[in-house]
Amino acid sequence: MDVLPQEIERRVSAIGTADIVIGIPTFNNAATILDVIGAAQSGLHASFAAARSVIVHVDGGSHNPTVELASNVASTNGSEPHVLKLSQLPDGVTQRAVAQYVKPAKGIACRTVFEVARRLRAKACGIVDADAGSPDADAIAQLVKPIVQESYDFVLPIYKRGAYSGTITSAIAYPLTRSLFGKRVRQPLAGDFACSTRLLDRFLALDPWRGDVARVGIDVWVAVQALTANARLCQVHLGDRSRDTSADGAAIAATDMRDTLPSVLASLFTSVERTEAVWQKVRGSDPVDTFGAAAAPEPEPSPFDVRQCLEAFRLGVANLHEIWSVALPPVSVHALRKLARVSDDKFALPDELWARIVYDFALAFHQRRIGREHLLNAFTPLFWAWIASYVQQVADASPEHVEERLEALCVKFEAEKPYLISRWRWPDRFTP
Amino acid sequence: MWKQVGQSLNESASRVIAGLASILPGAAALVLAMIVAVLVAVSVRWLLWRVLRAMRFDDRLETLGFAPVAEWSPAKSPSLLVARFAYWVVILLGLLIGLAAIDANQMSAMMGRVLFYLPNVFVAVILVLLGGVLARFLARTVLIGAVNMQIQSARLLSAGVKWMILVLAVAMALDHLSIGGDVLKLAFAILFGGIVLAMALAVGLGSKEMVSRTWEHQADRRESPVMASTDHV
Repeated sequence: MDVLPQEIERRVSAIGTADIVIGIPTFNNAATILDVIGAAQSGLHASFAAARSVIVHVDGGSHNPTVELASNVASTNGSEPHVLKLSQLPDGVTQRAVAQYVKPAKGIACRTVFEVARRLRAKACGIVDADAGSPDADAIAQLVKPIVQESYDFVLPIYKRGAYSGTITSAIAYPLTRSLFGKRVRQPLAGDFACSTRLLDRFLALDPWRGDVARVGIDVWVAVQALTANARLCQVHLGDRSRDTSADGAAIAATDMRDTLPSVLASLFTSVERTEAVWQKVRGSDPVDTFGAAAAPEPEPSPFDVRQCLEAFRLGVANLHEIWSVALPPVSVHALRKLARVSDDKFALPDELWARIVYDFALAFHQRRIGREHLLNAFTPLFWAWIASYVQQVADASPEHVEERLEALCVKFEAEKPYLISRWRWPDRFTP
Repeated sequence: MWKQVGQSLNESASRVIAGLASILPGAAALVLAMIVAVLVAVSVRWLLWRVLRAMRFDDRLETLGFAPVAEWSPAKSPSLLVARFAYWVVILLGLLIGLAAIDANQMSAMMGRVLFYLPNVFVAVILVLLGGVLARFLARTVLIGAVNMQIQSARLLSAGVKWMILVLAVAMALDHLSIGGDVLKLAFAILFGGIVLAMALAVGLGSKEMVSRTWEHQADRRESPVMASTDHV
């Protein structure tokens, strides 16, 4: 199976070799594509003037002028990086996938970029999401710098985010990946990352390029591969980069939690399932090398209505407890029922219970106790409960206090890991 | 006289023993056929399940976009479903072979009748089973979807969907078995027509304002608890 079509192969051969490759996957990103390509060009030119850099733009079949706008960018401009524009997805990504998923086949797009980077024998390859707002030119260079200059294998950014932004990362992705793989990677689903040739070869040698990974789960998959491959990891503080939640970007940012949460959970739980031999041996967690200065986010009003969050949770308790009982042990279901009776102002979801709920859902997903789609969708009211509890706890809190709050949650996830291991190994024998 | 009674008893006993003796090889063949069928069926099920598991059949099916098959099948595993189906096909074959061995003439006549009716029974059973599985699946889908949309009467909606499908499946099965005849069709027409008419009357006349208020209220509730656009990931 040819990863690169012949025409693209010919253009890659014409370029010859490169030191740095930056991939920009797009889908309906007309509002941001020029800024992102521009930032990549000027950032690479400013920081790596002596290096040969190539920017690869891969579009997933946009319905707006993303491709046309990108086409207007000169392929090469003097000493600035070469821009390679690929307006088609290789491997025939079907229209069904395009219709079904808001942001189709980022995984396939990444694979194309990886393949181009390998053909060009690049030392570093970065992926920059085009649905995040205009990036700082320096940020893109900072993302690949640890690989080029410090021989790291994998770099993830830490973007400045408010207390209420990235709640899925804060509540589930960060604590879960940290407790399972023992590395404190703060934003494992950042969307942007950079990797070394060694890791690139590993990615391409594996065959995850079908199913969820090919479509939407690439961010989780790449991070988990790096976490489980003894790769040298680091993080870089890259300042502010909020996702584009306006106009075209609104669809891509998938602001509706009911759509986003199940797909992220599916990617995470699939990774948990596939790496069971690795994470069962890991205890505790270690900090990861971090570069750059952390910028404190400005205080922001909560976008969540706590009363409605709790109503959603109570409706779930009243109607979904039978489905939850398939995944959760009786003691957890009982605790949730008790919580539903607590008044709004006193509502607090204990971290221990939350950690166990996430672990139990991961186990139920693995064991296919009920249909996976049902299981993941039934999680949503529980997440509203966590948000209600969290919003009340961090209201008017300083950024340091917010981080302390999340640190306490992560510590609880680590403390409860033996519970997951016991239930994973002996699901029938160990039911509290 | 006692001599005649004894003779009659001897003759009837001989006839019964002779009858039993004539059936015995067939019965032994039936038992043997069933034992072999069970052994073969267990082996086929085990082998098929292992092969399908090795082929990652469930994952492939999901990848190819047949996720609903996995969702509907028992134990959420299409491999297990295929293996169990093969098991019961082999058992059925063994039973038919065994029955044919008892008395070729009598059995062939009886089996002719049974075989003539068997497809109807088979289709009816499949209809009821599929209806049950579909009803459970859709009821759960509606329940979870309605809860996530914050519709207060989620359970009622879910139960409604479940019973509509179950009743429909049973009606189709009975119709297929030619049980009930026109009475069944009439009952259904009345039942469904009645439900639709009741809803139309409720919305159009009696509960117009109440329904309007309910929908307005629920439309408000269906708003996500997120008030402003935010990046959740």
